Amino acid sequence: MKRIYALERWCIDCKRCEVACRVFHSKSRDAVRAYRVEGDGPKGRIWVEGTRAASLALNCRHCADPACVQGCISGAMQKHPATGVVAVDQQRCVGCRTCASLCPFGAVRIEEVAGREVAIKCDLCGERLGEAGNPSCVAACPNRALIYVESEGGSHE
Amino acid sequence: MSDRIVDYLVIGNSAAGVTAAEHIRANDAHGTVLIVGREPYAVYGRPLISYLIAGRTTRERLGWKDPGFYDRTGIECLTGSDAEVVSLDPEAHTATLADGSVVTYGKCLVATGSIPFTPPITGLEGRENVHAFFTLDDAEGVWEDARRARQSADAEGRPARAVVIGSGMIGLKAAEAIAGYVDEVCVLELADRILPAALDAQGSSLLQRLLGCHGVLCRPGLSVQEVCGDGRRATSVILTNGECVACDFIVAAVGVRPNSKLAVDAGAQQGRGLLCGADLQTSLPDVYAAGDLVQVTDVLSGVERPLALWPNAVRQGACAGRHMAGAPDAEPFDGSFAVNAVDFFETSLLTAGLIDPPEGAGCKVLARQEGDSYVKFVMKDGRLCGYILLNRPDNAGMYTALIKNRVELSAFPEEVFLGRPLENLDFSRDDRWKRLHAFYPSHLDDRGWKEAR
Amino acid sequence: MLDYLLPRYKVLRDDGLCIRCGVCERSCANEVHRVDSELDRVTANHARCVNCQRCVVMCPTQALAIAKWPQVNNGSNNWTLEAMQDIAKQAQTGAVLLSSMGNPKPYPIYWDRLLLNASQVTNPSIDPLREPMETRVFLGRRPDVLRVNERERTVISKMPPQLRLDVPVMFSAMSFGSISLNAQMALAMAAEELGTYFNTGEGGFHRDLRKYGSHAIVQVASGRFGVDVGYLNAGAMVEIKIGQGAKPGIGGHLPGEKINAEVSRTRMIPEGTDAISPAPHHDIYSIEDLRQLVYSLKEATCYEKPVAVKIAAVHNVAAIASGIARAGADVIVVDGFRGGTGAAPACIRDNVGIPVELALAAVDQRLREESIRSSVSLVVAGSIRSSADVVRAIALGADAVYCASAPLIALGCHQCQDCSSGKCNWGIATQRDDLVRRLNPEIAAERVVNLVRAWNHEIQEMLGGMGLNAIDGLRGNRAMLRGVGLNEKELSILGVKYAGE
Repeated sequence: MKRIYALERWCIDCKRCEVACRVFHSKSRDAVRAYRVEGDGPKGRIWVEGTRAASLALNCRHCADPACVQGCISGAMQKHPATGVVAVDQQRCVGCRTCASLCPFGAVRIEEVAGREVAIKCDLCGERLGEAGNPSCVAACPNRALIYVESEGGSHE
Repeated sequence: MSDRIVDYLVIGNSAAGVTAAEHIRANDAHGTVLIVGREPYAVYGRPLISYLIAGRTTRERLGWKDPGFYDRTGIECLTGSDAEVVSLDPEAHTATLADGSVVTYGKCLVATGSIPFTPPITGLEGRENVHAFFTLDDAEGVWEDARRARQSADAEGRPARAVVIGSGMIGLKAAEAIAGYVDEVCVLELADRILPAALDAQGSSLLQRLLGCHGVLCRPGLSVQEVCGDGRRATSVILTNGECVACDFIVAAVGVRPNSKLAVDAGAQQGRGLLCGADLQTSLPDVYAAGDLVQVTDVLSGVERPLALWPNAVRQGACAGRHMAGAPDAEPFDGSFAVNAVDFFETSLLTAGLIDPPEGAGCKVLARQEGDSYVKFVMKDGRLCGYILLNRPDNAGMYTALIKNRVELSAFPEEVFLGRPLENLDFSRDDRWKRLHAFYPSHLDDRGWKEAR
Repeated sequence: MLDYLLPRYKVLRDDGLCIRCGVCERSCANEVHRVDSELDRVTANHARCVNCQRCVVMCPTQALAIAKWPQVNNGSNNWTLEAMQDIAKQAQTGAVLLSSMGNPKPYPIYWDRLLLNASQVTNPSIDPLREPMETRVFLGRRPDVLRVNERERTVISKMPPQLRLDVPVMFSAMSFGSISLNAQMALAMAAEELGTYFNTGEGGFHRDLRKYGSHAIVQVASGRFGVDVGYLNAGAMVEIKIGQGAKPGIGGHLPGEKINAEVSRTRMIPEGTDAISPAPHHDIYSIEDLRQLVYSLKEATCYEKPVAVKIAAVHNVAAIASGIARAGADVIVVDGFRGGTGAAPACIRDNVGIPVELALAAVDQRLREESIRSSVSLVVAGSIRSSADVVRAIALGADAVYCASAPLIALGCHQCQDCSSGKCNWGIATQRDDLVRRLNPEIAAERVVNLVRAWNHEIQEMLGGMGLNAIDGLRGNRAMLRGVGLNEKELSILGVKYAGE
């Protein structure tokens, strides 16, 4: 499967990835609406850690054997058997935080969406659950600090 | 049902059993797999029942797998009381179902989970408004009584009341769900604090206060002496201090025990749970076990006990399934430790490992309470072995990973415990790369460039 | 004390588009922007803005533009706002005004007054997509006589050392120190890919770039920073820098704060000390002295590498060039006053030197008249902006061009002329780690390669249009140029006819 890798030596803490992610996952997919109309909460699925001196973009690693999927009590968090994409069905998720308590990277967070607390994580910008799209964070990165490349293994459990 | 012969028989249609079946199928495309389950439902997320009552999910969304799961994977599934296995003959490799039919198996997995423990309280048995809180049927009963309590209380112009006996995870999640219907939920706990298995005294008292804001009144140090009632319905309880508390219904959630009778009757050795080898095979040939009923080694304390947690059941199911199917890369089950994630109203509570070490155990403890949040880390030998994160949920999984991987803490700044959540940047440069770049393409260097220029 | 200075620029923020994401704040090393969450808007400290346009490009919603500070002047064409601001600055500081990049003043740009020819009816034009079109150039001395074994089709004459350029464009000298290692690496990578050369400038040759040595020109300038015999032999050509178009007659000064560990090691000077390149080479006071240095360098490189001499275009450039040719140089580089610099006194940059077009024409003419043109190659530098400028330069007599500003612009430079502050937001003219990191050499090299490839395609189109199939046929071919808006004297120096003639 193709994975997003963050290359911290090129990360410049601009956080354009965070903006692009939030916009893509907004209802309108319009930056101004996403930020100014659709609520204040951070609805991104990628987070830049650190400061300008050293920074690092972090999102789901789509693990071979994801702890979040093992722990999911609702079956909402699944690794797609064909694509390897780990994605959460927000309709089924009850926001119990088990996934967040198990993800070794802090790549799953619980946020309020439409009045319900649910798990939020990178879905590789797929239009359908478990399908990868063209990750908007990678497209927004000005310095190839995020690359989306074919990885070597770990697509299937 | 007629007698049949299968390659794999999985007894128990929940987390461990279904996961095992999935892994059997992944490693053996042609073997016949039969799951039998006592409850008349496809596999559902058992912990979701409190969310169902609280209106945070629906019956349709309870399914742990998609509706086509069994067909798609070619796993046969029999459910209902007829499909309950009543006896197991490990010598003959047969299991007898409640309807008398016999299943001959090649390998068998006992994944019957745990069953609620019924406390020996006078007047508790035989009441139709006293419920356990373990299965979907239990939840339906509680739900029905909760709605009924609301209606009759409104009609009579009095507050609706419920009593929950036991303040473990199950009891408190039940109380939270019920609080949406009744005015007062009285949670009784025999121990001197609530959630005694997953919280220390300070955490318990904070959680007790936070629950109190939502009409959940916790009363540690108390239990029920006697249930009083009017025929088949309980109407009040007399507490161990003599106080009488009126109630519309009762949820009894004092704990669970391994549902291992079937295996034990067949001759399986039992300690605090079924004794299994590293391949999760029981003492009986070709009989494996996975889930709540298995005695596991707590890798942090060394204590042997069952670990009745969903993620543990899934891990064991996967492990057992792979060993049963003879997967070449099947790894031994190497123990586990408790990780609990739960939320009550807007409070989040994440705990893992040892959270309340005894004095003199050589543990270093860092703890801080600020307003409604309480953070505690327990370290031993320079490594993290437990945490409580009450209302500070950020990056909890990273701490879990520190525990799991026995990470040496000396390289981390102290502020990543009480000061701020741990981040990936707190790991050394090399460790960061290794952690975050699994399966990185070998033709790219760490600059993302194609060839070494 | 109040310094009487006005901001130069004003940040225009479209509040309807601004999402308070803070990308601008984090992108600006000059700390212009600030997200004020209490005000729920982003504020700007306009006075700090240098118009590098990083924020404009980075803003996810294109909510930003930079305008000139709207203050009107007093209506005088003499006491302009700019002149008065310079006075205010000097009245405050008592210092020489520093600036960067090339001469920005409105002197005539002769490139823009020279038009190219194309074939019509007679002498048919050539389609470079269908027929071969040679843009390869060799730099260095030509042999006096070329003897060839016709049977074996081999050259018998001993050929002097030469550089082979697949495109007639090289990257001018920019030192590590004045630009970042990532910027220099990008140019090195691009040079390798394009089959051309980058120039180390007077900053030594960083060990990470030595693998690009076969595409490097190593410079020897008055400070001799980083020069040893290994350095001289690490490149493909050695260039003696006498002068620079942006600051003729002036040395260089890289302040101590830019001499970090890497720069120090590469330049072979102590960390934190100022790197001062003297105005003259203290061992060169005559053509004879220059000849000594040229031959010292040839000795040091076993006569295997050509030696170039670079001078600024100044008043008697033709005579100087003639002397340089006679001093044994294989390549003469003439650098014009619109060529860039990392830092120069504004009074020098804006007022010293002559337009490179006139200098080039004069040098080429003089060398021809003295019959020594073929003993030396001629490279012109100083603001080559497009493929058409390359074609004009070659038609005026150059063998190839050097350019630096154009590739820097490809890297993101917006010519804000604030290189000397060391806070280049594009990661080019800076040594600050967080800023240098902004320039991923892989991306940067791709962009430079794209630019030069595009130019080369265009050069081929223009050559084909003139009916030429090799760039050799264009060199010094002033018949391919016609002037517009030029007076008789200018036409005569340039050696071109007026349009219509």
